[in-house]
Amino acid sequence: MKAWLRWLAASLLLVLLPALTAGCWSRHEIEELAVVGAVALDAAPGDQVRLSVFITLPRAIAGGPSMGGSSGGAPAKVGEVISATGSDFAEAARRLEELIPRRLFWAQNHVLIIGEELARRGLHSLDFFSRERQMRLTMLILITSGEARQALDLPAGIELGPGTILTGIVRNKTTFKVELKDLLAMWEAPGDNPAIPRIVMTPAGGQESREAGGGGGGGSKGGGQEGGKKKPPEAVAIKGAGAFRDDRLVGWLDEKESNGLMWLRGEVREGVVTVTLPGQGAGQGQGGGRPQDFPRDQTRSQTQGQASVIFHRINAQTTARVEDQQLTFKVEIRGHGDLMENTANLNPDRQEDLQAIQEAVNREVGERVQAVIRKAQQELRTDIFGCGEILHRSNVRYWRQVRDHWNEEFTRAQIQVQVDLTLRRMGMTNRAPGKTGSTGGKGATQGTAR
Amino acid sequence: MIILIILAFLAIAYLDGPGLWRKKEWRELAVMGIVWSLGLALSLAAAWHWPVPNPARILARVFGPVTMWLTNLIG
Amino acid sequence: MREEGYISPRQAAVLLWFAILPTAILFLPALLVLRAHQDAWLSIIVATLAAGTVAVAVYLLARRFPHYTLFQCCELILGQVAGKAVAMVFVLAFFQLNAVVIREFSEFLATAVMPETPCLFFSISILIIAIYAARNGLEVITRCTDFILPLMVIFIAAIFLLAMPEMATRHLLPVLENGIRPVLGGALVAWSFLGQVVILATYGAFVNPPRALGWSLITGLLGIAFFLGLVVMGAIMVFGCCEVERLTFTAYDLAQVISLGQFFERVEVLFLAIWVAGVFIKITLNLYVTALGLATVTGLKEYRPLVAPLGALNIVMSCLLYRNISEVRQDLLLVEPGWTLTWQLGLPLLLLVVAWLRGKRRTGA
Repeated sequence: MKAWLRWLAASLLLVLLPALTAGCWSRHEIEELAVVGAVALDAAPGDQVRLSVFITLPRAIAGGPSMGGSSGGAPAKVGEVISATGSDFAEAARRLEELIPRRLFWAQNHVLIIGEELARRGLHSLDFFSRERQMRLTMLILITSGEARQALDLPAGIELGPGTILTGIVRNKTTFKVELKDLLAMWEAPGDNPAIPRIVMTPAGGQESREAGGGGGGGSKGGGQEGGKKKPPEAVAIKGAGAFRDDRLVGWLDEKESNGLMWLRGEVREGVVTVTLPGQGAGQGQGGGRPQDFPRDQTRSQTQGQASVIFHRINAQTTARVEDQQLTFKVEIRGHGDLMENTANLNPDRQEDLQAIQEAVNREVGERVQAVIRKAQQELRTDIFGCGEILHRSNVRYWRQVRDHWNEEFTRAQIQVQVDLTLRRMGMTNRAPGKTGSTGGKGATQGTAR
Repeated sequence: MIILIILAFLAIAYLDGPGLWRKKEWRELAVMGIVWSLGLALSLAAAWHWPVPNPARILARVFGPVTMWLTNLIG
Repeated sequence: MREEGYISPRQAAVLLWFAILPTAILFLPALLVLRAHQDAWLSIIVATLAAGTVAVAVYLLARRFPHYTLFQCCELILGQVAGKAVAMVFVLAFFQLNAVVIREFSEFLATAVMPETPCLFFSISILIIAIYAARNGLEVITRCTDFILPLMVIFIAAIFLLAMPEMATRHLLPVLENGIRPVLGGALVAWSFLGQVVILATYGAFVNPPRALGWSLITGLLGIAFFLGLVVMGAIMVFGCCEVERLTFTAYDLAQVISLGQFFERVEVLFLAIWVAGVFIKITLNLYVTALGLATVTGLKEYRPLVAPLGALNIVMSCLLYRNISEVRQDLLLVEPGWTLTWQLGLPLLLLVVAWLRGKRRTGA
């Protein structure tokens, strides 16, 4: 009797256990998923939003771009762009799932592109992207003038999908990087406003084209299918930035200004500064008077040239000071650079030439920073530098007075910039190539170069 | 659902009940029986959506004000 | 009733970590930051000091009554009727605590990992294992921790270290922006987690040698403060305090930002596995203590028959307690501090004072 009961219980357990343990409710096989590789958000007519996703086609990725080439001329299609409109992104995402035979899978998504119109409406609709559990807080945020959806139509090049193309470009560190978590932090901090790197597409053909279905209810397939109707962009660049006041886009920074922003925020990594150096008096008298001195090229002494310096890492420190109701921020930018290119007739081995390059670099960086300060204070009237947070950290009492109208207060603040960049290394060679002067000569060069 | 609940509780009873019965440990059996029937009753009540007095609500009634007072006192 | 096994002081300290950390690193930071903003780490220090008073009370009780559990102490100190009543309060408190933990566990899994799975499934599956482990006694539970501890410690440390490139110390400034009061308010919230060190008064009876209990308490409490501080500071430095406030499951989000050279990413899944193991210890320990306490109060020889029915009751209770996750959070913020202060600090202190006044001790045992 006892043994019999035990057997019954055991077999019951055996039957129930697989049903309970293996049958996960939330299991999804990879064949059932539509892997989202990039997302574009646009405004749609009637206060609606349009969600476009780039869905990676697993077969195309596995086959590689050469497979597509073999099938007759057409460029390999590694993904499909689909979009849908809805009154919010959750609704739009659900409508997307009406269009495709698989479930949307967001976890592989690395890029989020925001269209200009939506950005001008405000970022509050981004809630979905931090609430949805599959979303990464580390996804890149980019902004574009015009329609964001177009960026998804990028043709496959070195990289296959727009997601990998754009993350790859950002990884080159030519521009600053804003991840979702950074954006949220900038947006939520009372003394900061977001600035998001901007995608520029060339040629901007079909700027005004709308997807087939138009606004209203369901979305429509687009992208490759539409083919002739819309010219996809040929290439893409990330330069400039969109500046926000609170959660609304208020204006654009051009390349120089967004670079200045990077310097000001200390976010320069591998930043290259190119300066034009005036044609110099070619060290007349110096070369002759001091034969032991390092020579310059004597043949093109009068022409002007360029020098480029790379800064791998810089340090920007902003301090706030309040003196009888006048708020002053002092930005100190420090860093060591390496000479990358020197087409000017300068020999960095000579301390005065080195000083000349250094001064020109400092002046150039100062100008860039001043440009963005002017823009932010006078034109955009928004604190995209996070100066408010700096004030918040250093002078809580004053901050409390100005917190509620910080962006107006910011426009009245004085920002002093002090650039103190030094040139430390010259690369693999010293002077620019060319014939050295009559007094120095080849012999002298060799002599001094040990 | 009801059947599953009853089955689960029968399994729990089977786990220790017979042993206690054989050893004539009536006290153990009684305490276990009380906890067991309380669990069964609450489960069935939950399954049938009967209103059950919620301990969390009672705790909140008593200690909500205490916490509020403490928070105002120090924080 | 008595338990036959003994555990070492080191194991007792480790159990203490597991009794607090798993749910604390997940649910506490957001609530703490809500109160204390960027000074949340200071709140943890304050709360640790406050929890230190419990630790002292537990230690003094243990010195007076070595080898006696908290539940037995109640009767020894307060007499049979009052003692049983107070012990019953402890039992109910541990029971309620466990119900909250089970609820937190299943809510998190349902939110972050498997939204389509019914919440009940998570609680039932972990309770089945917990019942099995708790029936095997304290020694088995401690041996489980020996396996999970290195994983957990390494992982919390690894999260912190790997998230370092994303961190900025400036997020921690300004210190004490609004004075000390927000810090104390935050400490009150942190208290409801850290005060759970009182659990050592129950299984502390099986620590051998009993005089090393002080060491266990200190190591336990400092370890908890350290790891909790690591997670809270890390989260604030990565996200900024305005954002941490929004992140309901902070430690999970912290694991999510880790990215090491484009290939070592999405470690939050690993985090999840280790975290579930940690919560399993926490639930098992609470279940064990509840059963032990109930057996003591009702004067049983064995706690084992009570484990399974109590576990089942716990599951039901965890479902009945709250209607939604924001009620859980609200409770942790607005109700638990007062309640936990009462039973985790008030009652042990009461016991200690009465024992001191009545001159009760049982050192000869």
